[in-house]
Amino acid sequence: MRPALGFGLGLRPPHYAAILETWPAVDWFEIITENYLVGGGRPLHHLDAIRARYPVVMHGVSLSIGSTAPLDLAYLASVRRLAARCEPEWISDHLCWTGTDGSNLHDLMPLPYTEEALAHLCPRIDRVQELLARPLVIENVSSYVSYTGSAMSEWEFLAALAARTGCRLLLDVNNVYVSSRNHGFEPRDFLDGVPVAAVQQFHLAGHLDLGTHVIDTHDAPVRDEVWELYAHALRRFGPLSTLLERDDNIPPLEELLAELDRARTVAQHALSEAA
Amino acid sequence: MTLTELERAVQRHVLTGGPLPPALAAAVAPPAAERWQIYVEAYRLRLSEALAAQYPALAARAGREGFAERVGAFIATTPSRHRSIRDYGGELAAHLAAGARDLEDEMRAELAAFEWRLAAAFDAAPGAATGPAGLADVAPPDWPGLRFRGVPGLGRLTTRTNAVAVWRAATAAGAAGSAGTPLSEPAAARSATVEWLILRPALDTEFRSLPDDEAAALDRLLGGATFGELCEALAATRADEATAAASAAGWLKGWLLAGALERV
Repeated sequence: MRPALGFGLGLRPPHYAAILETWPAVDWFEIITENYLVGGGRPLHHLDAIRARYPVVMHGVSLSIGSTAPLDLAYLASVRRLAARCEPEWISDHLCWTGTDGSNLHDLMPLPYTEEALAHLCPRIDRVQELLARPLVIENVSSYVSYTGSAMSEWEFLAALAARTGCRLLLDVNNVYVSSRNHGFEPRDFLDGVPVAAVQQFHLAGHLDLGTHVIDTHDAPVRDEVWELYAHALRRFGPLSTLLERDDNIPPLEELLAELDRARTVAQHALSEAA
Repeated sequence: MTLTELERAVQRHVLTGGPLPPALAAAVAPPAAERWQIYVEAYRLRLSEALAAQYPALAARAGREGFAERVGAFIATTPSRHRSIRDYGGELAAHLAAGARDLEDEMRAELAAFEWRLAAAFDAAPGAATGPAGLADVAPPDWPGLRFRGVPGLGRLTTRTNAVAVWRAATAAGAAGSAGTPLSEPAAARSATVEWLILRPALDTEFRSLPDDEAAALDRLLGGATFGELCEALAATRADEATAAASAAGWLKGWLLAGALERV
């Protein structure tokens, strides 16, 4: 089952007012789960109003599924409570760890791609899926360093996770590009190595190209090389739900709506070519 | 190296700003150290930005660079132990107070304490405030035994500087105040002790000052005293028990009207 929601935006507080005043032509919104794990007040008030008009997906940043610390059951209970409130289409988080021994680096730290890591992750994903009563959707992260012990590619690792746990995959096309530049692989090999049936959603975002390496900044429009890769992803995976992210230098809503229109155009062309 | 050992090593190097751990290898060119620094710097930058969001007036007071510099020592000694970065930084006021060397530092510590309470009220649970009507059915003999607790997000604070005036100035300056240039006006000043009550009755956070005796009475109630115990304590400072009871009843009505209390 792959419900295609269309073209969505990451919901960010600077856009609350514009959204509530204009009800823009956005097919769906993706929320940062942790921003709404609060008791009440304005964030949940706005979320309720927006949810009444749009489908919503919950996207977490601190599940820390790859951490060797025990799963945080209190956190998962709060995620489940939020899910009961906003009835998301699905719940996603990242293939990463964010801290261990009680600390949180608030960053999406990469994992080594090893059998040991797979053996660690699979039962944790099973448990999370059981607790949340739905498949977990897992996103590939951007990375700047890799581990000497890695024994397989990132896409082989993701494919194995999906096969062993039934989890779904969120392909961040920008992250694929950023990591390909930083680690010297062909980005299309990544996309071609991921099983079509496992992919639920795409992410698009901007990055900073320093020439020697690339940083995933989410502070600028999507770059041409990522649009090209997105077109390739569409041809391979079909018309999946697409989400445009912007987390810094957040422009007026109209600017992001225009960028979302570009995503629609790229998809239209890519899918007509593929037909 | 096991996965557990690897994560501990990587985390330790990020927290201490150490060099690239041996377990890592940068892919191809350029310098591995430069790529590793992305993680080291991102950690500090992310926490600094989170603190600036939680403490906007404090950040405006220091200016963008000055704030990052001032919170650097706090971040170095206070790793985040929170799932949500929004919850990071509650110890900043105590950190600033402990290191205060002058009146400006004292004012900044109070400003931080004030802003943390505003932030806590901002997205606190709605609670179930008891209004005056909620006590309409209480029989006279039961009044002395009444107990209350503060609604979620209720904040109390005592200031001895003009921190709240500085907060008002920074808030009035808005985005201009956080643009980078330190906001130096008004100058830090000593003030008489002011007691503050912070609440979020609907969607907007509110605060007001309380007379000293009302603040002491509210603190007594929030500390678990019954209404009867509050009246007894007041009697020691009033002409008679009836006057004390009238004062306590008047304050209680005001707190209930403000949506500050839940009957236990």
